[in-house]
Amino acid sequence: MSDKDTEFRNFVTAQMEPLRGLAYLTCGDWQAAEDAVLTVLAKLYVKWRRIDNPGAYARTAVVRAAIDETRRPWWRREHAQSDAMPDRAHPVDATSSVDERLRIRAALQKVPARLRAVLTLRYLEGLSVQETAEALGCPEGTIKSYTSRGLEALRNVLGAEVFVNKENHREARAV
Amino acid sequence: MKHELSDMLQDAKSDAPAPRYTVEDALAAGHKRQRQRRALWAVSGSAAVVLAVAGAAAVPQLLPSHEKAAPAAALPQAAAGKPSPFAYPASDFTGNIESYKAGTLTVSDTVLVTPGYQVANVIGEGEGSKTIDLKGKSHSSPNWVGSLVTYAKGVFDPKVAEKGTAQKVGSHSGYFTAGQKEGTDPKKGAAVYSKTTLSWEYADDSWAVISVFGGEKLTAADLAKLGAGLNAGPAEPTKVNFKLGYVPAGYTLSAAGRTDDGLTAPVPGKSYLRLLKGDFPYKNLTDTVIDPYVVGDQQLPVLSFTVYPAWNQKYEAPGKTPYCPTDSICYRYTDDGKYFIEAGGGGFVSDDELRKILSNVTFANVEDSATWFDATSAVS
Repeated sequence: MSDKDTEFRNFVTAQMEPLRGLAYLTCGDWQAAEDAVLTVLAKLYVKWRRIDNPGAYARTAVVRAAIDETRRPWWRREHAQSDAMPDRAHPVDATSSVDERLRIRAALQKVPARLRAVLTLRYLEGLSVQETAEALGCPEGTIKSYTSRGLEALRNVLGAEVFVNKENHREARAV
Repeated sequence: MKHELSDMLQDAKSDAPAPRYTVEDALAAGHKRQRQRRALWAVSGSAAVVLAVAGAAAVPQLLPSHEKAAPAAALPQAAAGKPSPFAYPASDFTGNIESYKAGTLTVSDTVLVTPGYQVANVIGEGEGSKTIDLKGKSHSSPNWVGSLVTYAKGVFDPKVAEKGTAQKVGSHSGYFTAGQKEGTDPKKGAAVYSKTTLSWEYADDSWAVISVFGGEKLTAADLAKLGAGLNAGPAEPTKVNFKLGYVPAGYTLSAAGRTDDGLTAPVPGKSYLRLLKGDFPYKNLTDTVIDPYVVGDQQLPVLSFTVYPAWNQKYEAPGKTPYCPTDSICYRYTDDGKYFIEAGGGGFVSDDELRKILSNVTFANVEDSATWFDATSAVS
């Protein structure tokens, strides 16, 4: 076993599950997410010695690959608007975790993929506006606009019940 | 139920299925890719061949996505020759779906109109979900089952619908796609299903789609019976219960009604207006337009305004002065405090601009639809 293989295996052991979740939240399909992650990891292996920050590389590449998945012609309409539509305030009979998770997923699927990717990178991965802009290769102003748009889209579906704990997120006040 | 966004994202991915790939699979994929690249370079000795191979692999993806597949032989004939009882209204922002009942289901009048389609609710028997407001009072909702959307001529592309099974709707050809079982409601012990749809060509190149969601499993025959009843009444202007006295330059009306394009359950007193800056292309649609913001490489600025009953609000009511608790989302209550309007600016206009818009809103009597405004006159 080469040093490269050992390092790569350690990296994948630690990062595969978070990357899978990141890809899933971006594209909304576990199978497509896993395919995207495997493709990115294979590319990463080839470039292993030439990349300073494999974590950042993998995260960026996975999000971009997952967004590409959503651009396939069949994707959007087959995956958007699945399952039960939510009400705005909290219904008495929707307290189960299964229903709630389905509802949240349905809401996330209504947010366009690039906006969803921005929300995921910022509020799940904890990236700053600048880091998110670098990851997605677009201006910081676009990230701010996408953050606002993404939050609004979520709130259009789930109502005023979505909020951001700004103290937990760097630069959240600058959205 | 309130959701902090990062918790919400964690929860959405918390019940991941068992992974299909292991760490060893990733390592093997890396080894394989490295071997392929070495082999390719060894054979070609030049980058040109690498590019040629990559180009060949990309060709199928470059075909136009809106290209329609050849229709199934037996299907497109049926709609031809017979006039449809339903015709799309000729005037903008008018609706003409007339309420009717089929079995246990009721289709409402038109509840949303855009330049490309109009929407009606599909309501089942009994009550829908109950909602407890901040004061502990319970509010019942209709048993919303789904939606019926009629598209104007040339707007809908049936390429996705055609993946379903053929299903006649009266004399018209269509396609049915059954929802997949996605989970179980632990309280009711019943399955929860993904979207079930029936799409049919109600007139030449004019399509209608019924979508039903959630726990009620409806068959192709159920939906065909419902679709066959599609009924045109007189075209009526779409009305909303508020009027914008100030609109930023360049924004024009793009959707109006008593629900939004997300096709959500009806809420008493709800009204909705969406404004766009730019032209959205209503063609090749396979569903309603949830977010017209991204059109190809273009980004169309969009503003949305929605009136809700106050019991639907999750924040503390702050009074009648417009306020913005979150960036680009602002509120103002009616004088009696029973309703509020929510403005979504999407980062396209400042919060000051949103407050200015809300300051110039005129509310109709929300509980008396005779006082409501025609949508086209509500955007001045």
